[in-house]
Amino acid sequence: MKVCLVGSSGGHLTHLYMLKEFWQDKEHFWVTFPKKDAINLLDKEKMYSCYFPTNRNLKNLIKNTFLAIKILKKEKPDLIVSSGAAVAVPFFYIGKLLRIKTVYIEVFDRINRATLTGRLVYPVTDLFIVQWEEMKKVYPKAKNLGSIF
Amino acid sequence: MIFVTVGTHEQPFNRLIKKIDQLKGQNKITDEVFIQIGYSTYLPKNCQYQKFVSPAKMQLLIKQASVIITHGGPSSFIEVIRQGKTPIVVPRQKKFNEHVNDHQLTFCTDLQKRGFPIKAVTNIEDLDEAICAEKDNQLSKFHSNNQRFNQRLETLLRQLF
Repeated sequence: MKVCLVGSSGGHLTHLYMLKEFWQDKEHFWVTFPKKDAINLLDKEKMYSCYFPTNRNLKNLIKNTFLAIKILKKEKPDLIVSSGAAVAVPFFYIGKLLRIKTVYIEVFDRINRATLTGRLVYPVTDLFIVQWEEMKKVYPKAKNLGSIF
Repeated sequence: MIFVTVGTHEQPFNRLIKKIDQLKGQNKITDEVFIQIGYSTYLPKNCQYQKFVSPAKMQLLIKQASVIITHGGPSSFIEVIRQGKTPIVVPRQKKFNEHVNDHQLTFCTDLQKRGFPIKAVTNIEDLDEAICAEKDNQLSKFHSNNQRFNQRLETLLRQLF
């Protein structure tokens, strides 16, 4: 199985890095911001840079959509995993078109309210994971796995 | 030593850094202070600082510090809890242009209500008092759910393929 791990740097990247037990023995690559913390953390990993800032930024959403098409067609992963933020949106929608399975993990910092990214990707996500039981009221098809930390 | 970290969020968190710098300047804080300022534009005059620190240095600073103050991002404060210490958590707020919304504020106050070992400071004027109280740091126990999370994820994924 080949896994694409995509997300912002900082706390979102920490969430994905905490899945190490899951990705370390599988073929995988990363898509994140080329910021110092990501470059440091992923220095021995295969990493593609995406465009930032993405917070409510339409220009970078379009640029990242073209990037998603390019990367996903080249790498042909079987699975895309993200915990946000906005960069997940083009990867999940393009991934859906290319019939790639998707897993979204809603961040730990939300107990009973959706994130904007979570709301946007929920309809096209094959496995939607939350970290608090209350979040199943927000996302009825979600599975609660408890804290990722 | 007091260690302050505001994480990697792209908006500045000048309110917190300025307050700490003032307290240090007024000698209300007598300990050495080291601040990871991130994208903040206010530069401390009375404290040591760096924009970003490596994960290894971050762990060391948390270990050495008697008081640790963080913003409301869980990746920042859970490392403190993991080391058995109680972080003072100052949530970023939308009205000060520190974040795109107030989720850090609601999340941190909710966590505290649920008995999580954090001290949330929502009014910056209470910071001085929180630092003094934190000097008698009680050790907290943290049970990681990470391994269980990964195992359950693996099981659920098998059903997808």
